[in-house]
Amino acid sequence: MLSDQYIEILHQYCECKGVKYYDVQTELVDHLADAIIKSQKEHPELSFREQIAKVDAQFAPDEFALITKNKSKAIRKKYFSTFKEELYSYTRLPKILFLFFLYALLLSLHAYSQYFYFILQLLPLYLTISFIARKKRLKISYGLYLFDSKKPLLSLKSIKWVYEKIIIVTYIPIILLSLYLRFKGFDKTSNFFFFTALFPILMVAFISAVNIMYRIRFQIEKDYTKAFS
Amino acid sequence: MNKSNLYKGCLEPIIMQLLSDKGRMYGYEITQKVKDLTKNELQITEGALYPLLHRLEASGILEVEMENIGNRVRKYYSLTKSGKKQTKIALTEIQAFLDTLQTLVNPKLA
Repeated sequence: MLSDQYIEILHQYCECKGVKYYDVQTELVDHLADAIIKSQKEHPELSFREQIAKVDAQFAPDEFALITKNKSKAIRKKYFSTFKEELYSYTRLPKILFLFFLYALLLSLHAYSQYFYFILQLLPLYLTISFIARKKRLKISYGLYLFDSKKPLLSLKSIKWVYEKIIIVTYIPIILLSLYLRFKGFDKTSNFFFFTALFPILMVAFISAVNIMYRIRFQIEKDYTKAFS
Repeated sequence: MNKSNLYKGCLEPIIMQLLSDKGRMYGYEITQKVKDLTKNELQITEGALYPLLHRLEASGILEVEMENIGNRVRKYYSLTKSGKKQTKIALTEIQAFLDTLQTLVNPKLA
């Protein structure tokens, strides 16, 4: 077993090799630690630094960078698949009922409230303000603290990336459509298309994105406790 | 001829078969197991192993489990349900590949 100090040195070693993310580092540190323990048994006369140099010689110069680059691609693919699975889950019964409820809620909001479009635009407005607040480092973001950690994590960065892409793809059409309908008014066709097809689909995509973002975030927090404390 | 190039395309079924036998394994354990089984003939580099493990995880063939081992975190890989099915297919394919090679390299034995 290597001491805490040695494990910290291995983390620093990974950082020097261009691996800045804690979650990528942990797997490599575990690998390096095992390799060093084995090397210590074979060559007990060598110092820890010499053991690292010995293990380092087994790696190609760009090996660490390659691992990070490929992990980044793989992780984004994984999160997009999780999102697709989540979307697919809305084709099964309990969630279909939820969709009907959402649809009914939208229709009743439209029928009974003259402020419907105003309400519809509040969320994207809040979203925009939150992004600006985030840039200005204000503490009023809409839960973007969910992407914060004490140490940089590739998995967290990737889920943020995926989340933002989904939000852009789903919410921008919602904003544009609601603005269009607000200023141009309804005709029967656009009303039908908006409420029965497009809007619920976009909402489901949005809810799915939020859902998986929370789920993955809490899994990351569970897996890499040290990155948050 | 570079031997690791010959093994390159077979890494995926090799790892899947190992995980099918052992249940769950971590990165370093896989490299050592392969080294032992092949009597140092095949040494999987970290640059080949980890991207492959991460790709298989992203494809839903592998699932991961994190475990605290003293002062470090260990990532264990195991086959998912669909991964187990994929392993059977991959092994059949690799056997067919070996048979074809045998036919080409040594037609008399085939």
